Amino acid sequence: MSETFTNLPIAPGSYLPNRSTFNQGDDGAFILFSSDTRGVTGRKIYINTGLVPIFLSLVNTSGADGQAIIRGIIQLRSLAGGLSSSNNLKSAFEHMTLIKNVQVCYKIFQVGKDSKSKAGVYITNIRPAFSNDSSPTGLHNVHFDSGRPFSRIVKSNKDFIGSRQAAINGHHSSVQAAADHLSNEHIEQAQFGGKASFDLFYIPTYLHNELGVWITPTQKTFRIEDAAKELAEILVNTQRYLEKNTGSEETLNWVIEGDGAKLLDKAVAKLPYSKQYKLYKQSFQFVDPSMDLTPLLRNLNTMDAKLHDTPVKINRTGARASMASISRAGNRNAETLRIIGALNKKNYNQSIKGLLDQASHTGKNISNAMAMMNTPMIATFMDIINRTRGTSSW
Amino acid sequence: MVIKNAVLSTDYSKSPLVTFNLSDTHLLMRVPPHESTYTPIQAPSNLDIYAPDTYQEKANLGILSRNLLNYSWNYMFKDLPYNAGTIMVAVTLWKVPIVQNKINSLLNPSNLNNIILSFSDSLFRDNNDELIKQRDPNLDEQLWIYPKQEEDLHSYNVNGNNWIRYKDGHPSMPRLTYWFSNAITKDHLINVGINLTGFLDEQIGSPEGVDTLLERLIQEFFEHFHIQYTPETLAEMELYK
Repeated sequence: MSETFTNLPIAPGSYLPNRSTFNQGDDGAFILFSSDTRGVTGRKIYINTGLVPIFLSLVNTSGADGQAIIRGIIQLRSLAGGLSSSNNLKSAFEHMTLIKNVQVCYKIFQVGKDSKSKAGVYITNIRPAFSNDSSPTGLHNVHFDSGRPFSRIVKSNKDFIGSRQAAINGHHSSVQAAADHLSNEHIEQAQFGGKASFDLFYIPTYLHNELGVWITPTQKTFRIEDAAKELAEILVNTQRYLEKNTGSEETLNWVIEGDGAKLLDKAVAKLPYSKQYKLYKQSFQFVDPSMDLTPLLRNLNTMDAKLHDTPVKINRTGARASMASISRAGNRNAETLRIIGALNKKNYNQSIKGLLDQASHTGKNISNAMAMMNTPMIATFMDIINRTRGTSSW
Repeated sequence: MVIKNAVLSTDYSKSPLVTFNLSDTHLLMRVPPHESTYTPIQAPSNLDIYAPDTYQEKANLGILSRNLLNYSWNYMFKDLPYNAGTIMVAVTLWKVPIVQNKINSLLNPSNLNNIILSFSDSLFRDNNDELIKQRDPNLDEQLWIYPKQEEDLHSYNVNGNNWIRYKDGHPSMPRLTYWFSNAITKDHLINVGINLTGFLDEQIGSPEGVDTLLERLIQEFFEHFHIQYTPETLAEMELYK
């Protein structure tokens, strides 16, 4: 018989990862990972339900690697905190282990007389196991040459964007991988064909993965808040540049991929509401957004920013996580639609209807699965994951 | 030389064998599974290198180009729970209009060197635009690093294949791109581009340790890369020895 979620004491808030960091799910409750981790053998393993979208995006449960990751997590019953895991320098309770393509961050919680928490392994984060990334954060100029498989990239000294296209990347192992991927998949072609040059605001993987203690001294010199501040300045300076140097109809088109939406959200939030801070010369398109876009769209609307004709694109592996984020926004989707319509003075209900229809199926499954948490039923994190299986293919 | 954290080699013996038959020149290589977010490229196994529609792009100097392979994989630390770094490998086929470029055969090493130098020059000089420089001083052509003379091109001999090796890129980036060129006929050549990310000094132990490591990783890749030339090519190569 399982424990009821309503009565399950979760790890204290201080045990959760910093809320401001990237790649975390919404705060949720800790529930058992699977029926194999109830503590019959070894420690119990709990996981935060806010990690559902991230787990969906990183772990293909029907593949061999996905199954290996699930087995690896279950093995934390006996191996957690062992020699193969890394300790967090700030807290001896925090550990991290690498299983296939994901890093699993967890804390081992012992029972104390005065503790309300149950003993066990608490998985606080799951994130992609990207390489150490030596690529610098910030603005880069990306140029393509026929006959060469890699783009030519320069770290830019500019504080504004002079080209017609720009992007903020999602998860990639390097600025080279990000630039090549965005160019091949999302940046519009040059006027006379071929790949267009564009400006890329690069977010390295160590910022996506920021917990602040596993990164190297070099990497510690640049943090999310700094990146958001730099991006905010670029948005403002670019607007001024475009107002002075381009025709009334010309805009800069931004492609915002994955977690790039979170950085943009932070940057836009830094701009005070003022006539000075309008973004009407800049247009935005979101690819596989990893967050509920409503608050960001509300801010962009306030600043008169524009949206691309296809405001949101959902692709491949990002699909399930994006769908989960969108569907979990619930009735806020109606507000999202209204804001999207207002942003471009167009009725986007039809163009985005397909997206929301797609999300709807996922949404029903995820909503049903999430509802399980509020009832005294037998349910685990893997039950929730299995309920979403097949909602969006890999 | 201090090595703080050992990096595990790729087990090429367990990697799939990728082959290309380029009009009877055969490329054979072991390529580990692709592990990056971008879409990998792998061209069909059989390509007629004399057919114009084999090529996808027309580049500077009238060169026709075809991507054969673009893959990326990661390297693990032996004792740390994260990746040490990532390699991107791209193999490209070029058809060079030799008459237009006033050379006789790419199999002649000095002709091959000339094409590489001319192509690099044409590529990196096109940033000499005053407007671009005003917008971003980093785009000044003087800053780019690329082979400008024969001394910047180096011989790299692996498996009996003699590659021409060089680097290019921008100093604002952490690492230059490695390039390897090998002529397979009098007017066709294979380019291999290698981009390495990660492998940080502070984790590997020292800059020298990183250099040694990267050389080892590159060497391991080329030890599993074989070219079988046509008899005609082998005969012509003899002329230039």
